Amino acid sequence: MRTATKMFAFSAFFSLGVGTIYWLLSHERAGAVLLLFMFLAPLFIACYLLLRARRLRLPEDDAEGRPGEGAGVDIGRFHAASLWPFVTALGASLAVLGAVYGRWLALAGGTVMAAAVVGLMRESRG
Amino acid sequence: MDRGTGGRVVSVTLERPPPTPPPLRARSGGILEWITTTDHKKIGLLYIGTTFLFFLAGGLMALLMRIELAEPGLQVLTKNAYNQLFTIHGTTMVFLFIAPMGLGLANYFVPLQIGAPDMAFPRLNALSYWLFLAGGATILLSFFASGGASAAGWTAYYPLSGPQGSPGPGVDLWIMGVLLASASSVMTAVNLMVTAFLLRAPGMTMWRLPLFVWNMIITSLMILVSFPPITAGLSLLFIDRHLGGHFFDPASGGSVVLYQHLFWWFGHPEVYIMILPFFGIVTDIIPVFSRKPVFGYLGFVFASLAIAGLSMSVWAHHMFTTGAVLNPFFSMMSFLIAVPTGIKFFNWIGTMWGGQIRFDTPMLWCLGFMLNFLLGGITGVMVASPPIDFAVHDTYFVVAHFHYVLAGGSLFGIFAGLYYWFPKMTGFRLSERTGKAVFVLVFVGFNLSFFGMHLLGLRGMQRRIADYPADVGWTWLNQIATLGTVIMGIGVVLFAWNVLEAFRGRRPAGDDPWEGYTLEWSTTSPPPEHNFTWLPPIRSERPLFDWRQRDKDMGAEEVRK
Repeated sequence: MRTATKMFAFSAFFSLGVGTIYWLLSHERAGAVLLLFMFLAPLFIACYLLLRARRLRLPEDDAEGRPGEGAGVDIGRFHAASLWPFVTALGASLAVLGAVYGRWLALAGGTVMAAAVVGLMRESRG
Repeated sequence: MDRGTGGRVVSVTLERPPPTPPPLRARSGGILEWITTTDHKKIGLLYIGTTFLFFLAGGLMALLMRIELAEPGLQVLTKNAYNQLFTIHGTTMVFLFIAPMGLGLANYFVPLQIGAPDMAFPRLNALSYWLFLAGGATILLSFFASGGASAAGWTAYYPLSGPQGSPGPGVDLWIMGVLLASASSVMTAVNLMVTAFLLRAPGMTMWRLPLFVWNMIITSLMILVSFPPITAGLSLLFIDRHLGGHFFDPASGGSVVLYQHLFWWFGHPEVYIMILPFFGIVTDIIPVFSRKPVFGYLGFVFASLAIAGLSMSVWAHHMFTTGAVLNPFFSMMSFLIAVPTGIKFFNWIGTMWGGQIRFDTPMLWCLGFMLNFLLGGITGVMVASPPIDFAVHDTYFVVAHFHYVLAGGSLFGIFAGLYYWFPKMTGFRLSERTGKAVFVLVFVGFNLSFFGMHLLGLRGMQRRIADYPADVGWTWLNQIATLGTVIMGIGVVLFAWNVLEAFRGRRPAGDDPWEGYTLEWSTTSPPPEHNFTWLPPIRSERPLFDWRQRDKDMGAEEVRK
């Protein structure tokens, strides 16, 4: 993960450099604030990776690693099928259309979305 | 791999090779299987199919506009219909075709290229697709809303997009559609990054990643930084329109320039979000068809990173003429982008130099991509200069410039990727002869369409006009552009026929028809569920070439014995 950490850190400090020059030259607030957040967002991820993933030794980062070395390592639960992403998106689209056409539609969309989120959580537990 | 046979949850472990080979083709089900799928390959195919349909819709809009512009006067469209068409054409091509096509191809091929069984978050992946489809449908169906679709341009500048400028629901539906598509892109970006960082096969270090994967990581980073401000900007626009806000209303202390900052903070990086994936695809294809390793792997990655960083610092070069931004700063930063972009041309030319080049269809699209993108890049450097930009701003010169980048560049990269990977996705071969005819038609049509627009812009023709005077000498250039669009359209129809014919003819492609270098070519065509039954050792950025070379060396050793 060292390469990923460096990439986020590079992004953050590049933004800090550009943002500082931009502010000193222009004193323009909208762009300076956007550049400030472009510094903070990758910095946050870089710090997280530095603190949490520093000791992580992944077989994929071993230059001499062989495919078989990953054998038996559980890399997660992969749901072969799920209806809930579709239902969540359906609810989200009804909700945003409700913002245009009326609260009743937003309410219906919000209800569908809430049901879908519950479904997703139950599926994750199961 | 431990696969659940009847259950919904599959626990995947990195165990290679498995005891038995999987079936060649995954079990095919009905529409419910596609609605509930979380398989990255099926979601990738859904993305690719849907974005291609959106491309056909956007292309039809372009054709209607070009037919209208073939002659002075209004022949087939009203001015309001023309405004709606160029608004939704731009929105469709940017939000619903080019950028999501890159994400769709990444969905299919990033896990395959890194030796992973799936994306890191399969259900989030499915949600991303369905949100994207919902966003696209909302934007396109807004033509049927009262008053029609948004006519405020794809940039939706205030006050044109404000409550007085656009009172109907068209702009609202446009805002909501773009918000849904943006949310989808952010989710996909997170998924791609986590997949590339944490699901690589052992031995696949970051500096052995295929360059398409590297470019998708960088594209994802740009999406994460650039999309939230446009989401905020469009939400503020909606508040101004309906909830009594005055964020962009100068009469009440708001600022229209603030909207432009928020929009272009997203809008300019979006150009690179639309081109970097195809830089990656082209850079994966050129070495295979030149029979050489890529020239300057590290330089390419650092150039992509430099492009990403610089492209986040040039947003206001779209605002030179407002007089409200620091023109020298943005001009200098824009000029600087030419340096890492030039490095990429060195990569491509250096890779081909001295190689045994095969001019198969994917390679032809790559060469077309390079030629067109070079011209778009050169005019990009020109309009990065404020004196030139002041002269050509909002003229057809700018239209020609960005079409050379996004159609001549990205579209050709898309076709390169589709022709290269079609055998892997389907197991069937596309006709080479038809593919070459498609390339010639689209290349000639594209250049006829857009080259003359440089001249139109220099002669003063403004963009976004449905009519023009008959006595200013613009007619013949517009007619050539319309002819070019028709030829391009014929090329696209021929491509659709090429695909249909491949499914009808069912010519087997084999697992590795191009003698590719990257891991996707080590599995079956199409790949089985969870992708791999076997992986070669990964010791460079082209593991499959190393493996084949090892076989050849061992064969030569046997012969010597």
